[in-house]
Amino acid sequence: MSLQEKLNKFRKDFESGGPPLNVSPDIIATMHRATDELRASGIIERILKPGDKAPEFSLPNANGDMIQSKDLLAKGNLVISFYRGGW
Amino acid sequence: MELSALQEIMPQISEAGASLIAISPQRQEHLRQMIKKDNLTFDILTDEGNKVAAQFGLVFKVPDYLKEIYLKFGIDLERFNGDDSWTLPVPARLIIDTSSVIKAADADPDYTVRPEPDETIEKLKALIVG
Repeated sequence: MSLQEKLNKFRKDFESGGPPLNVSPDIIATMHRATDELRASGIIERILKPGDKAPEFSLPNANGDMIQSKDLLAKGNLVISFYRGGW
Repeated sequence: MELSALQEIMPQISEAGASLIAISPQRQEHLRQMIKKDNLTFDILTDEGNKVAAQFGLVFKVPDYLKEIYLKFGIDLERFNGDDSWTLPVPARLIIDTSSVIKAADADPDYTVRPEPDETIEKLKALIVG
C-alpha cells in the first residue's frame, strides 16, 4: 500500500465513526471546517516555494545535540519533513 | 505513518547523496518515543514554538473550536509541545539543494494528504542529473 493509500484508509476508518475513537459526524464536520478555513486563509501561498532561498537553522535533535542546516547541506541535498506530532 | 514511510526510503536517499531530517514542535521526550516506536534512523529536530517552521511560512494557530476537539482526543498540544501557543506547522516535505535553494515544497492543509516517498526519490535523482 502506498503512503497515500494508507492515509486514505486511516481517514475512512476515522470518519466512519467506528471504534476506538467513535467520532461523531459533527466533530468530523468541524474538522473539515478547520481544514477548509486553513486552506482559505491563503497559507499555501505564503509557504516558501521552489526557487526561494531556504532559511538557515540550528535545532536540537531528540538527544539534545544541535544540528545545523549548513552542516547537512555541506554534505548534499536535504529532505525536510515538517511533522506535527506522533499523537 | 509518514515518518515510517520515509524510513523505508532511507537507503535510496543516501544513495542519492542526500540526507533526511524531520522537524516537529514536540518536546524531545515525545520525539524519542516516536524514534523508538518506528525504529527511525534519521534525526527529528525539536522546533520549540514552531520558530523555524514559521520562517518557512508553515505555521498556523489551531482555532479554539478545533482545540476543544483535540483536547477531547487527548491531544494537548501544550503538554506535547511544551508551549501554550497552540500552533502547528502545515505538514510539508521540502527538498533543499546544496546552495540552500528550495527545489521542492509540497504542503497541504489537509493533514491526510502527503506526497509519496517515491516522488521525493525521483526528485532527488533528477537533481543529481541536473
